[in-house]
Amino acid sequence: MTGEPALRATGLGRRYRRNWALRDCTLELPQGRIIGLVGANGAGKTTLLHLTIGLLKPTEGTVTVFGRPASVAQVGFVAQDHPLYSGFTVADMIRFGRSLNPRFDQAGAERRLSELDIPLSRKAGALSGGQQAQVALTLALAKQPRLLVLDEPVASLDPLARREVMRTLVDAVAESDLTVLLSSHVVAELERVCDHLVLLHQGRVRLTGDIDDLLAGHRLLTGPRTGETAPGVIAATHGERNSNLLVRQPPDVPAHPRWESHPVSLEDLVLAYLDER
Amino acid sequence: MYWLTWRQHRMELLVAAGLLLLTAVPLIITGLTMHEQYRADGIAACVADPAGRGGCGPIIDQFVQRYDQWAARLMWGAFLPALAGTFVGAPLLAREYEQGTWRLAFAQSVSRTRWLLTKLALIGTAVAVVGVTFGALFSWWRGPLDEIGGRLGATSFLIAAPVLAAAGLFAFATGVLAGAVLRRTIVAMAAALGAFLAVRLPLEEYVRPYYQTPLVRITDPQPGVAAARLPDTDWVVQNSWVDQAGHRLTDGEEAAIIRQVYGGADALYSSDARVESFMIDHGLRHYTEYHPDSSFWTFQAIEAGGFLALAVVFLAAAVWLVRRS
Repeated sequence: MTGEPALRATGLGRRYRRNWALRDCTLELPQGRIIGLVGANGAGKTTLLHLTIGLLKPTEGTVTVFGRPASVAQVGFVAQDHPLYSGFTVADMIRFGRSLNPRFDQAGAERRLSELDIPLSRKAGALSGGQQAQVALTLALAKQPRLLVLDEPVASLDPLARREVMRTLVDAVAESDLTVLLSSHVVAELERVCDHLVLLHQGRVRLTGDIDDLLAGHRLLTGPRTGETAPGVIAATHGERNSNLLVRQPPDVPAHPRWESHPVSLEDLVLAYLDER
Repeated sequence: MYWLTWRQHRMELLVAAGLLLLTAVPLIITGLTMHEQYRADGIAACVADPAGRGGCGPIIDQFVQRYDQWAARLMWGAFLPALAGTFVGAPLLAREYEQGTWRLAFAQSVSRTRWLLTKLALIGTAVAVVGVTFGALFSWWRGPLDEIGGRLGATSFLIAAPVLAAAGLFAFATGVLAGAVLRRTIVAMAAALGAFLAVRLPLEEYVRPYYQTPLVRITDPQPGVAAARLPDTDWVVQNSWVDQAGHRLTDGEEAAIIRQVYGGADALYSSDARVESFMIDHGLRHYTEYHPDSSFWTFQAIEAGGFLALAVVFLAAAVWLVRRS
């Protein structure tokens, strides 16, 4: 495997009329990982994903995928709400994929769908949300991409369907050297499948890195109530007697004895950064 | 791409074929009868040599009257292009944007430019073929009536194959562009229809007469003959009077004369026997600007060319919009 990052964005920005949906985005994402992209609604997640695959053109900056300019040809993409042509049968959707992609793995797609008990003769519009997501994911995988991009793949699904879609995804990654970039605001889902995180807030990248490193580099300090701020404090909540501080500190730096130190969960971490102004 | 275009637009093609069939059956049945009568009743001979035979006027009048209503119905054919714009062109992009499937369609290995160009080429060809077929059918049916009355008149001109097909492509392009801009199917359909009519309706009165400089004919007034005159194939675009000095009378002057002839009462007719006699007495002559029927193909080429040029511009704009985002 080369050292080339799966995705490299440099000063990437996109403006819609007057508003910047994404600004100053500089990122390098490693190959072979499952990368979670988190952020509140309107944080620019969809914009970043659309720029990554070339669905949108950047207003400024550049984005490359495996060292080449962003192009949909080598990227698999599942858009938000996993759109399909509702009047097409599942078989039609597979034929759609085959006729628009030279490297389309039709046999693999059909096998995957039969394993999922999704009938090929059913109209896409008559499938459940989870089945639609599975069909959309199957089409994207059958393209045999090196990078798979998913925009909120499970947001509209019930918990069971969520788990099944994620399992399909994780299995697919296990079988290949696929890099996955997926956005979500369901942090629990990301925690289970992702090993790398990008956090967007108000159109800018706030945090990026391996999830293990990020968790090790932050801690939650609890102690007597204080008004003081210390370097590296990301968020502070104050109770009547106690203060809780979420701080960014190298793991080997000892905490002040006044503070009780706890490890942070991914959810704490994400919420702390999203709360930041 | 061929399969996808067929799969997504086969319904429109089937509807077009059905419409063609529904139109063709009655037109072929009545058309065959009419063509037969045209030959058998000697009208063809009358038209070929009006001076050589007597009593042509009444036969021709009767024939025209008999088929006039059918001919008037063909006017609806002139609105067929609007269907291509509203139901084929407008949804082509608008539906993808509205239902979010553009994010699926544009995320495949085939670039969106190729996706769009292939669709436009295939569907545009289908629109043109359907337009030419309808036009050929209509023009064949109207053949005898056109030999009597000329082809430059409104209905014959609009439903002839070149203009009908080109207007169809223009409407289609208008719809595609409306969809690319508005991204809502119903809104794009309404806009496509409105834009098509806004271009099409004023053409006949304000633009088409000026494709070529009209020919001029100055004729002597003939009291009592006007009613018996055979219909001719020229397309008259301007009728007025000239005096002996060659001065063309204005509309106001004409109206004043007619009021004078009728003793002050407003009259509907400006060329009956009394007016003609007045003209003779005062040395006035009829002045007519017209386009001869032989200009038909030139006029078709000019109007079709205009529609095609607009269609190309609109489609190019739509492609540019889709590529830009």
